[in-house]
Amino acid sequence: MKTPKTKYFLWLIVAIFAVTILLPLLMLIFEALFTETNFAFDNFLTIFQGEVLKSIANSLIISLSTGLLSVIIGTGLAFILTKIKLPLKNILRLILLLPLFLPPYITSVAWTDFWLFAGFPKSFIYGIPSVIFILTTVYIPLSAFIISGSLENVSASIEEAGEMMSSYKTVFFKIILPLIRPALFSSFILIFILSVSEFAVPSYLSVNVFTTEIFTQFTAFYNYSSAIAHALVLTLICFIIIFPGKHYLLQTPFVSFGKKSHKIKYYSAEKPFIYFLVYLTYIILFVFLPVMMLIIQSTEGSNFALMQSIKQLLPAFSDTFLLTISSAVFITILGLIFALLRNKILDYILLFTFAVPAVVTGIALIKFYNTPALNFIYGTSAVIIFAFISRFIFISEKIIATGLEQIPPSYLEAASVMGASPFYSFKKILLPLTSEALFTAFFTAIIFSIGELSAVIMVYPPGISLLSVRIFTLSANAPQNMVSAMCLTALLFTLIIIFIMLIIKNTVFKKQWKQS
Amino acid sequence: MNRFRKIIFPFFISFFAVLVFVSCNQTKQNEVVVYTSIDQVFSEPVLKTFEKKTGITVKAVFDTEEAKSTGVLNRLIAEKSNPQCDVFWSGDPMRAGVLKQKGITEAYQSSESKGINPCFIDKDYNWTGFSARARVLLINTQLVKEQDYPKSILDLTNEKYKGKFAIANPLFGTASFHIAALFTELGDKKAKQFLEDLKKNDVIIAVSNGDVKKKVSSGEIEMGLTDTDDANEAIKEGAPVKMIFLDQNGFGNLIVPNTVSLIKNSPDNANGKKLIDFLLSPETEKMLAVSCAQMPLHKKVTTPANIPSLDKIVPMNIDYDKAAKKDEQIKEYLKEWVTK
Repeated sequence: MKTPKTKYFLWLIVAIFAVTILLPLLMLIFEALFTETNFAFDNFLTIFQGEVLKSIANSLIISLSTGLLSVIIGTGLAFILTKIKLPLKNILRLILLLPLFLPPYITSVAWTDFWLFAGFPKSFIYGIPSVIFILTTVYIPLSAFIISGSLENVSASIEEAGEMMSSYKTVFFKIILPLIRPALFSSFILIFILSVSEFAVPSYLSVNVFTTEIFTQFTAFYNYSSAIAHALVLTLICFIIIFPGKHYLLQTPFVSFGKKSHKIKYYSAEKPFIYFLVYLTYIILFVFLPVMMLIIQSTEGSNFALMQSIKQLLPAFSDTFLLTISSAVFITILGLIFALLRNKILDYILLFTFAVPAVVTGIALIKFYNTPALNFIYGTSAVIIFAFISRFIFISEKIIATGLEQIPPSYLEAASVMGASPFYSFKKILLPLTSEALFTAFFTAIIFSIGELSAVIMVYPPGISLLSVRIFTLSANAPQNMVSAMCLTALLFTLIIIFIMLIIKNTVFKKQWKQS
Repeated sequence: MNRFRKIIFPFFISFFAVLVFVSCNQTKQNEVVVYTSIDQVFSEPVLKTFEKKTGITVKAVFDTEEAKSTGVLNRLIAEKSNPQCDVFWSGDPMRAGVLKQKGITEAYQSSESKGINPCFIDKDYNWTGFSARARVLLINTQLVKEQDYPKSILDLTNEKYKGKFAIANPLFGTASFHIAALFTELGDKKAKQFLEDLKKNDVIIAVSNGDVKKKVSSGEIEMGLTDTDDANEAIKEGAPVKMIFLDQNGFGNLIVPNTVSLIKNSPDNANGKKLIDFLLSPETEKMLAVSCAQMPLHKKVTTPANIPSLDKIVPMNIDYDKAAKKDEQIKEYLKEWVTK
């Protein structure tokens, strides 16, 4: 469908993206790497100190273990959700996602309080194992979400053919797992990047990680160049880890959107309720327990903490709603354009913007946009939208690219033969068939944007109130019941938005599909 | 036409809506922009009162000491060439000192600073102190008997407190200021020896002062050094704790005033000065005494009974400027000490 005209248009949008989002990052990095004309070696020398190397090792242990555990457990949960006939499946799927809507820092407070209450040894609580545990519980929903999409896409006929020759166990390990390997790799790498950039949880649990080093350079030494050099090393580490799996990450489905050309083969388990019980146990232990801790904490001392927290957070609701929705619109449109171009270099660029620590993104936006001429961006909410785009365009593009890859090329070829214009093919074939992917990208962008703190706290204009920033700044010195109540309020706010989005999806997209 | 109606028109409408939303935020009014590292629960009501009294809209960027004030201070440094902020309200003189050294603030001598002890005012008037906190030792009264309370900060190296006390990470916030003040008071050699002895005594390094408060309140540890506002919160929450001032028979207890600075080349210098005048007034000090137990620097400000009076505390006699410079000198050492 890409005629030269449309290609030029798409590349023009890419050029605008490069100037507005990528250039600030590159300029900042260049500034950190070079002092006048020389390469700034000094900024990198501190990395070879014993304690810094130890912090890098800690970061790698935490992020690799979190990635691995999240993928293993996420695969199990995804299998139960997809391949076993369960009652209330959609509700169970939504409940599983809850930990993703809570700031990881709050989850760590909830878990620590529970462990202290239950008498766990401090050597466990304040150490690497607990960081891995908490981050794993936070990111399992993400891997389960990605992997279940891929499992849904495995053709029933392949599984049936396999089952005629062998047991289901063999089919699972020899056929299904290899087929969903791309999703396993994708979720592992996504979780790896998110965990390696995490600062709040290790810091709360007194574990020194590499992001602590970056943070220290920023906040204790006010040394931008050194901090950015450190951040660059972190990005490089991400790329080195990602490199072996780059084929899977950049060229293969992120979340699969199937059910278009085949039916799902359910596993005919002898006792399906056992799987249901396993799933339920997981939900109770790893989703409800921290949420219950928050509920208990929020009711301690005062029964009105929840009402007070709603009152406190009220000024942030409208700004957060409008800005996250607006950003999600832009992120989805840009994601669609990048996905349509299917260019390897663009894939790497998006991966780079995602892997750069959020604080660096914030500083880059300040340095680039804070000029009198660009005040109309820096002094307004536009800079927040830019921050969200920079952070989450990668995820959105991968989701939409997956949706596009599901469409057989023959559809577009047939339309072209029939004389359909590129725009007509886009409107009548691509758009309806990718509507599910577009919605998921939009939905994911909203969820991630609501929780984003590190970049927006650096750039949000005076007078604008965002939920994540307001909770964070109000939490300091607020009693624990208020902090917990504010987190519950944010959780409710996110759930309401999800609910609204689901209603829109079920009405608008279904209608659109019927019309098409 | 159909294409326009269905796709392009809605797209441009939404784009336009975003632009309108964005540009609405740009409309300049009679306003003042303040960046503050004072916790929002305490600073917001003060700023709202200023709005009500003057009719000047306050646009604030809040931060928190829990985050080591990463946001506002780094923003102010990054915005140096094109300041967006008029006033910086800091929780301690150190950050104001950093901005002064970087040439980000300018001198302003407020008429409201009369009556404030000159030791709490920068000699070049780049910052002025008001409502102070103190560094105190918060003790869990269920775990420690009164006769076992330490009298001096130096007592914490005593073996009977081994592994039982915490301090916040001394690389950041008021904890870093506290250590820098000790270096100026004791001299480098003695201060380093003290820190080494603390390490040998298994001092627990907490994430923040709030974390120290939480650990002591819950009984996870026996005692910890924190600020009076955190200690006061713990008392208000009904935790079994008591705060004590240290070294009252020796070199005194560290007093940490809030500071306010005018940003050089700020967008609205005149309104900035009005806000500074208001923040330095006895009225603000009274509000902060009630909300977060801060001690007024003006005499004759009436305060609740639980607020300690500065007259009754032996303060550590330090040069705040000198301490801020010392803090920069010892940062590398402290970084090694923390990770040791």
